[in-house]
Amino acid sequence: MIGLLRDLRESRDLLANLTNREVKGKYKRTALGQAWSLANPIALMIIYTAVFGFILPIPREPGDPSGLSVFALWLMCGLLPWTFFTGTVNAGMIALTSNENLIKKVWFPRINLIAAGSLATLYSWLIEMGVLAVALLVVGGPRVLVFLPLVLVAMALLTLFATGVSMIFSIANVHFRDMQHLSQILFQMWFYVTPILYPASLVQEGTRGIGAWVFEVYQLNPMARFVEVFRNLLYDQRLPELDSVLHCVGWTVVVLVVGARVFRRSEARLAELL
Amino acid sequence: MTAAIRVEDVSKRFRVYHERNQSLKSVVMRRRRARYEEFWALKDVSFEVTSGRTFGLIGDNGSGKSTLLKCIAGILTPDKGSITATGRTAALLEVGSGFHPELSGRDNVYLNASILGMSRKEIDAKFDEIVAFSGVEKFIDQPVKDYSSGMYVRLGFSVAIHVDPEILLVDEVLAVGDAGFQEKCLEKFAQFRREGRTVVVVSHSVAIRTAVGVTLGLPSAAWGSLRIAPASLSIVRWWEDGAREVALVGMPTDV
Repeated sequence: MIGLLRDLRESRDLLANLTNREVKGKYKRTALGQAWSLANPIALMIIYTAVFGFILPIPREPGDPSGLSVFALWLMCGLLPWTFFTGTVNAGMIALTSNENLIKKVWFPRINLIAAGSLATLYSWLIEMGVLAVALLVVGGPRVLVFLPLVLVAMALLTLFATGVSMIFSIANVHFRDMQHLSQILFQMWFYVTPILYPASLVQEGTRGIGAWVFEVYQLNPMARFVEVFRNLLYDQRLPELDSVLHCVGWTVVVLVVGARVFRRSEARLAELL
Repeated sequence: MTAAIRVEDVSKRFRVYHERNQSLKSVVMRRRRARYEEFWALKDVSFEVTSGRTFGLIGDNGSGKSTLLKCIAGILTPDKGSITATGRTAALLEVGSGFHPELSGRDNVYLNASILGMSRKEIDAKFDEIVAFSGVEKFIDQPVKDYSSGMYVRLGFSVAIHVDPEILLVDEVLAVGDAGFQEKCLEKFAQFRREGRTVVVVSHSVAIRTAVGVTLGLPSAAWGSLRIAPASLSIVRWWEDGAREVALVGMPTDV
């Protein structure tokens, strides 16, 4: 863990250039350029709002104390962190396999490849969240501004969490290329067990008959906690519960420690494994 | 005389896979990862490269010289033994590593140079020199996918040569570009020597082999038979000729 951090600090110019390559290279030769990064979230917003805002309306409380009651905004406060998470893990997962040639020919701290994937995805996410913040400002008034610094802290935390998962998945993908495909199914399931399209309170009510433990297990999902924190800050515009914050921090630490260990163990042999 | 590179009892093993199970299905079905044989590409190799010398590693294809170079460069980790390189090391095993075809030559110079270990400040300072050496000034803001292969290689080589290493590891495949550019490269290597840097060149080229043959005083008919037994690699000896040292990788079985 400390070794990886030292590697990153010593090669920060490389990290900047690799990130630049990802960001600049992604939308080269497209007419819309970086605007494409907004297309996917907007399309998802329209689809989910049409289905779960109007066709099958999902019961949810208005934002407390913000008083906001706009499904699309409520949805995006949870959906944008989620798409960032999957985007980062997907980018990190192929970072080693798609740079095989580089790894076999030059030595440099490999963690830069994973970190560059995270930072490039973070760059798009910052733009998306900026647009969302403006929308919240227009619809809900200036109160959201108070919480933006905390939103940035939460974003930093989720970036670390996603990077930790990336480290594990990237090494797994070096050993078994199945990971790329398996992870898509995993993410689909994970998406629906995370309260993004519905509030967590629906699960709490629905499982009450079975026992309180079901909801407790449900709440172990780190992404459920992250979504809750983001929604508290942006949509409800209040401080999240300490319990949720501790879960987010705890999961991030665990994933980073495990990820760093997994990554370190295979790092030296990557040129052979690929 | 200090040693720039010290290689001590280095062994490197590869796995030669009969069935490489890189999917989960095959693991589940066969209940094992893979079947492979072990193959020692390097076995108990020891030598030192004196600081400020140009050192040639000569060997046939498959003799392990590239493996050795990659171990020194840190790309591969030896299974046994240790390698210590004193000073900033740069390896030229490939030119244009990490070039992104859609990005401009300028962006790629920054990218490539930072992959090779240069800081942003160093690149800023040397940018003009790098571009001038490569001779692609006019096209530096074009995406490199539009470059001719010669321009691409020249730009990549120019970046690599400006890394300013104390130890430079070069694979001979880097004999690139037209005659004029090759001359520039040789001049650059000569400059490196004059500046007291250590250069390690890997080669199986006939020319160098001939030089070895001459140095050994072998009849020319025997030069081609400086053979290397891959599994029993060892450095037999090396020769000094001014600032040059040549090491033969492996045993010259027919000598």
